[in-house]
Amino acid sequence: MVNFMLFLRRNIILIIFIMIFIIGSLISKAFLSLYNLQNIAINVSIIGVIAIGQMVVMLTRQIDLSVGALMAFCPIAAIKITQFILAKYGIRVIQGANYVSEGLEMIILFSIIFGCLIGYLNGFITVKANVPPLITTLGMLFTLRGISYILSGGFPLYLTSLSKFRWLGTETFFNVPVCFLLFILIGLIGVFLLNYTKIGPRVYSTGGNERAAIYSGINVNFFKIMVYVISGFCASIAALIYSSRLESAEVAQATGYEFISIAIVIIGGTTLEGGRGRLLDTVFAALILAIVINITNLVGLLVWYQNLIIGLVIIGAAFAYLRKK
Amino acid sequence: MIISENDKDLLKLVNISKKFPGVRALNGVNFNINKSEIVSIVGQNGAGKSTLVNIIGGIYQPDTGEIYIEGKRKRIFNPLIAEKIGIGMVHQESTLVPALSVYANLFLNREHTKNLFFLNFHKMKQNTKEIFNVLGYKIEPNLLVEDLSLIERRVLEIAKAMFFNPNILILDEVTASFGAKEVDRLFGLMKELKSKGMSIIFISHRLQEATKISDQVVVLRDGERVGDFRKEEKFSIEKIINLMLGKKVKKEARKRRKIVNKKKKLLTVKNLSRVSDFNNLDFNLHAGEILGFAGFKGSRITEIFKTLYGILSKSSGEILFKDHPVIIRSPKDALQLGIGMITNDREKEGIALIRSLEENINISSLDKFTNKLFVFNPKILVNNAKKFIKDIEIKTPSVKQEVLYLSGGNRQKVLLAKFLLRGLDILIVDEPTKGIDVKTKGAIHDLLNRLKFEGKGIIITSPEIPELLSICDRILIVAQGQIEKEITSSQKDFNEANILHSMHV
Repeated sequence: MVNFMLFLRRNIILIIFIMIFIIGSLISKAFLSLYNLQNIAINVSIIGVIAIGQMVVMLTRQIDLSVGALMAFCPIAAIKITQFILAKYGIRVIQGANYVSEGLEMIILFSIIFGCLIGYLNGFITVKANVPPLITTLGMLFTLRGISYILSGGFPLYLTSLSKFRWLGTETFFNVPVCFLLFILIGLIGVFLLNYTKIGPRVYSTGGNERAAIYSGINVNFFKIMVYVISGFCASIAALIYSSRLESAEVAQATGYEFISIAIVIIGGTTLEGGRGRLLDTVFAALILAIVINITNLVGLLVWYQNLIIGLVIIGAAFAYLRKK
Repeated sequence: MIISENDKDLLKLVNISKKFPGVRALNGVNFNINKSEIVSIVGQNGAGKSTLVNIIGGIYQPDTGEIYIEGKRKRIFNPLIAEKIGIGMVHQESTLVPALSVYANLFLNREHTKNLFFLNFHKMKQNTKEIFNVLGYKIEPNLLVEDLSLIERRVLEIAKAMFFNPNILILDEVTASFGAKEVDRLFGLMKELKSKGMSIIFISHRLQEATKISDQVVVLRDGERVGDFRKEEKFSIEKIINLMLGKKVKKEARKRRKIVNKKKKLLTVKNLSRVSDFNNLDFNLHAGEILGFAGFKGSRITEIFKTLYGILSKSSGEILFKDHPVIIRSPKDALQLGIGMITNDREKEGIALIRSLEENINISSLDKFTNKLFVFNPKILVNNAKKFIKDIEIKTPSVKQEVLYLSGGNRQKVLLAKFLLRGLDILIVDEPTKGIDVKTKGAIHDLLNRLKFEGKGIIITSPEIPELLSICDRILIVAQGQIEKEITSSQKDFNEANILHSMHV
C-alpha cells in the first residue's frame, strides 16, 4: 500500500492528466471528437516543444525569457536572409505585398540555424559575461522583437503561396497531426538523452550543485550554454509549426509564449532552483495545459478566464510540489 | 599506483603561501606526509587548514611554493589532476547533487557506459554495492541523496574520494555530524586503509579524535605552521590548544558573577528536540542571568536559538515561560511573550539595510505607538530613535540615515535598540559581537550587562570563549545538539583552558 502511495506521489502529474481528460470528456460532447482532439494535439505541439527547451534550461538553474520573441524572429529572419541570398540568383522570394513564394527549404534551414545561434548567444552572454540569465534573456526578448519589426517592416509575411509549408501544421498521419508526432519525438529524444546518456547527470549536477559538478571535472560552462542552444532550437521548431499553421510570420506572433513555457515547466515539477525534475512530467504538463485551455474554449469562457485558470493551475502546482522545509 | 620504496616523502609541500583579497590565508607553510601515515591538521577557524588541503586537492593554486609527489615537482591545476596523481579529497562542504541517486553521484563524470554513449545502470549499481561493501557500510544505490541521513551522505563522499584508490586521502571536517559510534567506524576504516599503505590527512576540530587516530598532529595558526607533535611523544591536548591559540591560556578562575534573581525562572526548557538538529535539551534561564552556549560548528546552537524564537519548529518537548507552558510557532509569538532574538547574520536576518535608523528601531514596537486607526505620530517615532541613539551612543548623523551606512558595531546597536524599545524579558543573541571592533564590543557587553541587572534574561553564544567568560553567569557546552556540560561562574573550572578542553573532548 505504501508503495502505491509513493507511486501516486511521484507520478501525480500523470494522475492529473487522466483526471483532466475525464473532466473534459464529461464537460462537453465535442471534447472527444476527432477535430477537437486534433486541435489539442496541434496546440500542445507548439507550447510543448518550447516547454521542453525551457525545462532543460531551468534544470541548470537558468531561465529563457526570449523564447516567444525568438519564435517570431526565426521565421522572419529566415525569410529575409533567404530573400537576400536567392536575389543573387535572380529568384524573387517575396512577391507583391509580402507573399512568400520561394525558398521553402532555405527558410526552414535558416529558421533552425537562427534559433540555435541566438540560443548560443544567450548562453554565451550569460556565462562568459556573467550576466544573470533573467537579464540576458529579457534584453534578448526586446532586441529580437525590435529586429523582427525592422526586418519585416511591421507587416506580416504571408506564406500561403508557399504551398508545401502548410504540411507541418496541417498534415495528419493516420489522423494524428504530424506536428504532434514531432513534439512526441522531441520529447522522447529529450527523455532519452537526460535519463539514459551521460548528458543527464551533467545537466542535473550543473543545476543541482554546481560546485560538485566543477569539482568532478564537469565543464559546467559548456552545459550552461548548451541548454540555451537547445531552447533556441526548440523555439525555432515551435515557430515553424506555428507559422505553418497560421501560414504567416509576423512580428507579434507568440507574444507571451515564454511565460506559457515557464508555466508548463513549473506545473511539471521543475523549479527555478534547478537540479531536479523529469522531462516526462513536463510533457504531461503541456498536455494538461492544452486540454485545460481547450475545455475553457469549449465551455465558451473568455480569454481572460483562461488566464485566470492558468494562474490557478500554476499556484496549485506549487502547492502540489511543496516540500517540507 | 605503485609507490616507490625509497624514503622520499610521498607528499611534500614547501613554502606554500596563499593570499585572498584582504587576507593572507597561508604564509610559508611546509608540510609532508609519508606512506601509511595519518597526519592531522588542527587550528582555529581561519588558521588555513582548509586552504592548505584545497591546494593539495587542486582547488586553489599557491602563490608561492612547490608541491612534490615522491620527490617529483607537480603542479595540481584542478581536482581531476589531483585525482590522477592519487589524491582523493572529501571537502568540508557537500559535493553531492541532492536530486540524483547514490550511484549517479558516485559515478559523476565517470559513468559506466555501454557503447560509449548509453549509461550502464546495472554495472554502476553493482559497482556501488561492491564499493560500499569494501567500506563496510550499506547504502542502497537507488536512493536519492536528499533522502540520505547526514552520516550516509558523508560516507558517500568518502566513497567518492576513494574511487580511484588514492594514495593520499584528505578528510576535511568529515566527522562534524558523527556520533561516537560512527567515528569509531570511520577510524576502523582509516586504520585498515593505513595498513594497506594509504596516507590520510585528517582535519577536525575535535582534538580528542585527532590525537586518537593520528601519527602526527600539525598545528596551524593565522596561516603559519607553528608546531607539530608526534604520537611517540604522547600527545598533550593542552599543549596543542596553547599552540593553536598562541598565548598562554588563562587558568585562573574568573571573577565570580552573581545571578540577580536566582529564584525566578524566566525560561524552562524540557526535553526539547528537533529531528536531526538537537535532542532532549533541558535547561533553565533565570531572571538577571546571562547564559552562554559554547560549541563548535555542528553543535546546532544556532538551530536551538532559532527554535526558541519560533523561526524553526520543534518536534517535541516543552517550553515554559515564567513557569507557564507556552507554544512558540513564530517570532511574533515569541515577541508577544517578551522574547527577542538577534541572529548571527544581521545583514540578512536582522536589519533592513536600505531603511533608516528610525524605521529599524521602531519596527518591532509599532503597535505600541499606533492608535486604533493604525495611525502613528511620526514625531514619537523620531524621538524613540533619538533617545536610543543618545542612550547607547549610536554613531550617526541623523535618525533618517540608512542603516547601510553604519558600521557593523553600530548596526548591532540599532538591533539592540529595536528590542530595548519594545521591552523584553528575554533576549537571545547569536554572536553578539560578530565583526565588531574592540571598543564597540565593550559597549555591547555593557548593554547586555545592563539588561541583566534590570532582571532580564539573556542567552548568548559566541565562538570566542573569553567573551563568554567575561559576561556569562553560566556556560553550557554543546556538541551536536546535546548539552554536554554546564559550568557556573562560581566553579573553579570556569576558565578558558577548561572550557576548551571540555569542548575538544
